[in-house]
Amino acid sequence: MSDIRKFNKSMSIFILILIVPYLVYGAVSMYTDEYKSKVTPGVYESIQKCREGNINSQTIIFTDSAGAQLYNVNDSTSNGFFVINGTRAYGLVGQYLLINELVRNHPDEVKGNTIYLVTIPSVFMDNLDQVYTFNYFIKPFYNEQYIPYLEDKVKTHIESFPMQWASQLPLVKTTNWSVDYSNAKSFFKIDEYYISEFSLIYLNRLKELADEFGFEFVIKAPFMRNDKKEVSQEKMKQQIREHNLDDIFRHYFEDMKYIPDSVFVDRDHFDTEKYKPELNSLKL
Amino acid sequence: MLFNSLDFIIYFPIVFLIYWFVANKNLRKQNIFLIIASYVFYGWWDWRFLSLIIISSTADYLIGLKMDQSDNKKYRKLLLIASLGINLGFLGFFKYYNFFIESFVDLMEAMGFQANITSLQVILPVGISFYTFQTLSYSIDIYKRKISHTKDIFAFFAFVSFFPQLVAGPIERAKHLLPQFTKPREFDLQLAKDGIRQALWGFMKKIVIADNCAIAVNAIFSDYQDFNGAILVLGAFLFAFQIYCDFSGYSDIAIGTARLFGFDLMQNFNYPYFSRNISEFWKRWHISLSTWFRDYVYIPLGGSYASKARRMFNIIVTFTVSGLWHGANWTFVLWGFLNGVGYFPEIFRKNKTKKFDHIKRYGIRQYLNILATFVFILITWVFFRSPDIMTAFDYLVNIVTTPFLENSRELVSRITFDNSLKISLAFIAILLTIEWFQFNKKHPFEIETLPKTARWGLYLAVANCIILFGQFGQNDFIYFQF
Repeated sequence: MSDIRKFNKSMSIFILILIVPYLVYGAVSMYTDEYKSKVTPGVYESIQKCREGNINSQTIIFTDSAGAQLYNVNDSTSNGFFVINGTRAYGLVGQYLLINELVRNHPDEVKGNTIYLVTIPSVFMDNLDQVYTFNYFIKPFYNEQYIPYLEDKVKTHIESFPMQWASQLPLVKTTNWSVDYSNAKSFFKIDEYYISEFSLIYLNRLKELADEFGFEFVIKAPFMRNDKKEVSQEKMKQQIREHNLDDIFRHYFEDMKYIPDSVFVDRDHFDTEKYKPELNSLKL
Repeated sequence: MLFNSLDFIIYFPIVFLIYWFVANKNLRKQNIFLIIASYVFYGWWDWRFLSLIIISSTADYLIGLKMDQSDNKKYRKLLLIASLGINLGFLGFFKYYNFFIESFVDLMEAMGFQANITSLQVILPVGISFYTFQTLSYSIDIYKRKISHTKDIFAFFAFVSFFPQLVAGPIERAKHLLPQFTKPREFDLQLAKDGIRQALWGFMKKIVIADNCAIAVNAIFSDYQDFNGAILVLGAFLFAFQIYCDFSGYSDIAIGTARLFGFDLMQNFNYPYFSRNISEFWKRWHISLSTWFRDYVYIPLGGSYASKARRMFNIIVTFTVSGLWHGANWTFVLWGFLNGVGYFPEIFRKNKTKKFDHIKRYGIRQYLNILATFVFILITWVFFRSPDIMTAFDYLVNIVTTPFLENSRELVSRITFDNSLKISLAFIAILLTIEWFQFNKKHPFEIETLPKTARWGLYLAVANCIILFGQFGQNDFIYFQF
C-alpha cells in the first residue's frame, strides 16, 4: 500500500475511533431521554412540569433564577404555589413558550387563576442574545414542537447563530457543547432598563394568551440589590405605557424591594446562607 | 476561510485528496492546483481582494525577472523602489491611510490649526502585512543577489499565495520556500504524520486555550474600571496566553497543514515564555517576523556593528516599526518601543546568554530571569491589547490603586462562561508543563519516539479535549487583523 493510502487509512480509523463513541452516546441519550437530566436539566424539568404537572394551587408562578430564590422550588406545591423555576437565559420568549405549554395542557386548571412571572427587569432587555442562549433556548426550544410559536423575526435571529443548524443533532443536543456566541450582550453594567424587541412581542402574546385562556397574567420583581436603585427605569416605564402593558406590569416598580448589596453573591442572586426571605414575601 | 471553521473541515480533505490523487501528475499541475485552492481559501473571505495578491505577485515576478537580468545598478535600484512602492503602497493605503490622516489632524488641532482632511472607509485586506512582506523579501534578496529570480511563474504565484500561511504567516523567505515549489512533491508519510500532529496541537491551543481565555480577557479589558487589581493581573496573564496560543496555534496549524502538502515551513515560535530576557524572547516569538526585521531593517541600519548608542537607536527604530507593522494604532507603536527598551540590557551585557537547557541546573537566577521577562512581557501586552495608550496606562495604574482582592467572588462570575476560566487556567498549566518537558523539540507534540499505542492515546486525548473543552463559534485569529 502506498504511503498516502496508509495515511488516509490511519486518518479514517482515527476519526472513526474519535467520533463513534460520541455518536453512540448521542443516539442512546436521545433515545432514553437521559440527556434531559444532564444538559440544562432545569429547562427540561420545567417543560415536563408544564406538560404534566399537577396544578393544585390557584397561584402559578414562573420565575427566573433570581425569582426562584424566593420560593422553595423543590417542594413548591407544599407551599401552596405551583412554581416553574426558570432562567433568564431563555428570556421572555422562553417564558412565553413555557406558559403556553402549561395553559394548553391545563386549560381548565388555569382558567380564572393568576399566573405570575417573577423576574428582574433586566430580563426584559434580553433579545435571545445571551451567552447561554444556544444551550438554554436553541437546544430545548428550536424544534418542530415550538417553532410554530416563534415569530419570523425570532427564527431569523436564531438562524444567524453560528452552528444553530447543529443544535438538534444528537451529538450536540445531548452534551453541554455550545458555541461561543461572540455577539452576546453583557448586562453587568446597566444604566437604564428597557424592553427588547422580542420581549415586547412576547409580552403582547402573553396578554393575548391570558385573554384566550381566561387567566390573569401579572409580572412581579424579586428582591434586588440596593445599587440597582441607580438604574433608570424611565425608558421601560415609557415603553410599558406606549404598548399598553400597564395592566400586566401594575405595581411592578412600586413593589420592588431592595436589600443590602452585601448579601448578594453576584448581580442578581443573594447568598441564601446570609439572607432567608420569609415565605411569600412578595405577597402574591 | 478560518482554519477553525466547518468550511475548512470540508474544504481541506477535498483539496488534500485532489492534490495527491489528481493534481500529482506533474509539478505544474500541483502548483496550478495550489494557486486555485489558495485563491478559493482567500476569496472565501472577500474575493475582491484577490486582485491585490495577483497584482503584487505579477509585479514582483516581473520586477524580479528584470532585476536579475540587469547589471545596471541604477536600473536595478529603480526596480527595487518600484517593488517597495507597490507593496508598501498597498500596505500604506489599506492599513495606515486613516491612521496617518487622523494622527495628522490630531496634531494640527493640538497646534491650534484646523485640518479638513477626511478619512476613508477602508477595509483592511486580511493577511496583507504577511504576503507583502513575503514578496518584498523576494525582490530585496534578488536585488542583493542573494537569490536568483524564478522562471516558473506558477511556482512564484503559488509561493506568494500558499494558503496555509497566506493570511498569518509564517512570513517565508523565497530562499527557503520558493525552491520547494520548483521541484515535484511526493507524499512523505513521516512529514505528513508530524504535520497532522502539529496541526492537532495548534487546534488545541487555539480552540481550547486561546478561545477560552478570550472570554475573560474581553470581559476584563472592556470594563477594566470595574475590576480589582487581582482580576486585572489575571486579565493581562490570560491575554498573554490568549495571544500566544492564538498565534502560535495558527502557526502550528499552518506548518502542519503545509507538511501534509509536502512543504516545510519555518518554525515561528520556540517556547517564548521560557525566555530569560527580551532579546531571547524575540528569538523565540514570531521568529519569521523578527528575523525579517533583523535582515531588512536592523542590519541595513547598521545592526550590531556600531557604537552602543547607535545600536540602541537601531533597536528602537526596528522595534517601533515592528510595532507599527502590527497595527495602525499608537498602542502598537508604544508596545514596539517598550520591547526595544527592554532589549537594551542585552547591549551592555558582557557575556552572551547561554543556550537555555532546562535539564541542566542553572540555579534560581535563571528562573527569576524567566519570571522577570514574563512580567515585563505582561506589561507590554496591556498596551498591545488596549484600544488606546491612556486606557493601557489606566489599566496598569488600576492594578496597584484598586483594592487587590475586593469582591473577587462576584467579579469572577462576570468573566467566566460555563467553566471557561477554570478550563483556561488548567490548560495553561498543562501547556506549560508539556512545553517544559518538550523544550528541545520543534513543537511540543513531536512524539514519534513513543510507542504507537501511547501516541494514539495522546492523539485521542488531545482531540477529545478540543471537542469537550473548546469554544466553537466566531473566533477569528487575532493576527488576521494585522
